[in-house]
Amino acid sequence: MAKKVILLEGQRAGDVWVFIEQERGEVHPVSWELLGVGRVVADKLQVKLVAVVLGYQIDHIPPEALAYGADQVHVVDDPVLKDYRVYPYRKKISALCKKYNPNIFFVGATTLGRSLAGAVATELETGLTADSTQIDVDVEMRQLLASRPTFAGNLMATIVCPNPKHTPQMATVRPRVFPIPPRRPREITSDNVIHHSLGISEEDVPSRVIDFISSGSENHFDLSYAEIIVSGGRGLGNKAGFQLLQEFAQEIGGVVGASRAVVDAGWISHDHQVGQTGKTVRPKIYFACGISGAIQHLVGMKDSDVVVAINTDPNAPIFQMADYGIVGDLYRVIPALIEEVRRRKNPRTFPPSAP
Amino acid sequence: MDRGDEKEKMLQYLVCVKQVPDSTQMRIDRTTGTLIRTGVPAVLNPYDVYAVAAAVEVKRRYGGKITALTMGPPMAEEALKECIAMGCDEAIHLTDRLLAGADTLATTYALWRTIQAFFDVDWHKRMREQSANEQPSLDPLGRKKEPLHLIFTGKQTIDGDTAQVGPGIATRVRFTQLTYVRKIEWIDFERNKTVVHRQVERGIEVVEARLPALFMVLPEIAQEERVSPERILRASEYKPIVVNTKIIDMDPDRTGEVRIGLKGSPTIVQEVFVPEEKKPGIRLNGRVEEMASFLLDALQERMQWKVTREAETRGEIEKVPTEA
Repeated sequence: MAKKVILLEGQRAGDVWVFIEQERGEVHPVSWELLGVGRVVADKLQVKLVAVVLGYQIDHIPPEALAYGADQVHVVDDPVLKDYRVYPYRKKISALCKKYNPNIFFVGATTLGRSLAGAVATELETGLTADSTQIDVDVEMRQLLASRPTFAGNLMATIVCPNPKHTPQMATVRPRVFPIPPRRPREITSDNVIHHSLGISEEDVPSRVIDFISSGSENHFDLSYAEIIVSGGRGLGNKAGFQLLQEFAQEIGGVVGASRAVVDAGWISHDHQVGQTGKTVRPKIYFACGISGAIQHLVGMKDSDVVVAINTDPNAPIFQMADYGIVGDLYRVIPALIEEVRRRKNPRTFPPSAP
Repeated sequence: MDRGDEKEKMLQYLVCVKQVPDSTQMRIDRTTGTLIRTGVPAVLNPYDVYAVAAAVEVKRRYGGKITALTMGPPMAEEALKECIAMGCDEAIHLTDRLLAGADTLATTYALWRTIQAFFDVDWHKRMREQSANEQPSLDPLGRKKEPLHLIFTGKQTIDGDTAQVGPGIATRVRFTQLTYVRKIEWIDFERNKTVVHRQVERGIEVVEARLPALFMVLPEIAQEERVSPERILRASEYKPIVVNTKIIDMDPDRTGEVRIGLKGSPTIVQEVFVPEEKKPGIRLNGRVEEMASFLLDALQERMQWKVTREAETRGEIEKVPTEA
């Protein structure tokens, strides 16, 4: 058995916490990714891995958190928490942190997670590292080492929170950076799932969600979790170019992404944006069509298994990132790809071309 | 006496901005692992442009006064002048060497103290508690502090990219925190209510919220504000209100605890390193049909599960033809 570390009070003896992000009962997959990396950190420090989940009618979530590696789950189930609002979340999570004194607290770097973590860290007057992509821990100092891209991804910076009076050490972690750990269902006991009351009434909350306009996609995590992405940039020339990309994506079972330039130009909505100010993706194949490859775009897709770049400019930076580069007109290359895919999928109507 | 005049209040809006190095023009020296800063211009953070534009739009609809606030070195005055050119009425420049090296927690602390020095941020609490003991306090220029109704910030800066300062300020001033706002439907300053659209992961949330509020806005919220010749002229002659840590009390509780600058920052950068570079790939040449065929051969394995499944469900082929 491993030697037990004996710590005095205030020496960062606390557990590792992970915020389980859910909306309308649906858990954001980054929560499971965080349990995966949190498990590694907790084991190194020989402490518990604890999940925290807030919401309404969320009985199905604690067993999942245990299955993905949590030793314990704190649950706050209350009608006030039905829609996410920062106020009750900030108040309750800060109160739980003050009560249990976790040493490290991970939150997903999603839109929800980033605005929540910023508020909680301020309330607790503690250090928060944004959008981390590498996580390690200094076991001796019991110090979190959270690394993140800085200066538009040109450099990586490792951020620490050295003074133990600031606790917990907080970090938001970018989705799709860590794999989802294997799911091993476990039994629920009175020990490993702990229920808390909220203690905040609806009148105390300064905002309420009065309507929700769905982005329309069935799978809400389409882009971040897509296996194949076909992305378009300014090289498309116009808005209509996305129809061609959509056709190609559909043919190969992929989804459409975009660079910031074309999102800003209004050619496609923001939820398609890949990059520093959009989504981080990690597909098996990433097609960059007419994307020059600004560093802000590259940081969002550089972990793709295979990158295919199609661009008329042979000096476009995207080619440095590409496994396969085609210097050419995407309006000729993509139709050829579509045709070739169709031929391979359906050899009867498209007999193989003679060698 | 006209009751309307009595009730009329000067609506006060604050926009928090930052001057940043234009990171798109930043390059890295891979042999030394350092940033090449030479010749990199400083600009008003691009996301803050939309925060200013949103405030100007709100002023256009409801009237009021817009103050821009920044914390930064003397040269950050240029960013404030840009805000004036875009339609802000006044600008406050918090500048002091003691503030350098601040992380987000120390930054929001210093900004909060400055906001408190210039504005009445507790009017809504007094209203809710129905307490009448309004203390008429003065700002550093000796003017009566006006109630602050709205704070605008950009989505994030392009140098720090944390998106933490907006939520941090909202938490400290106890304003309703509304992040990722892409549309302001209406604001009712009589009932102190607003309805906004927030961009969330799965769609758009329509939120009704109490004022005072902090809007962290997305570029979708407004068109970039056009600068007119008159405004440029005004901006060029404009001198922002300059304050430092002698003017703004950064330790009101007399604890002696440093809460600003590097010393007041819980987080520090321990190490900076250059991320690994990817090895070069293959450049394809030739007829598009040949390139398409080659590419699909190379990618077949990664695509197969998709292609095969679709073909199989149609029962047309058993297996996708692979290389002969």
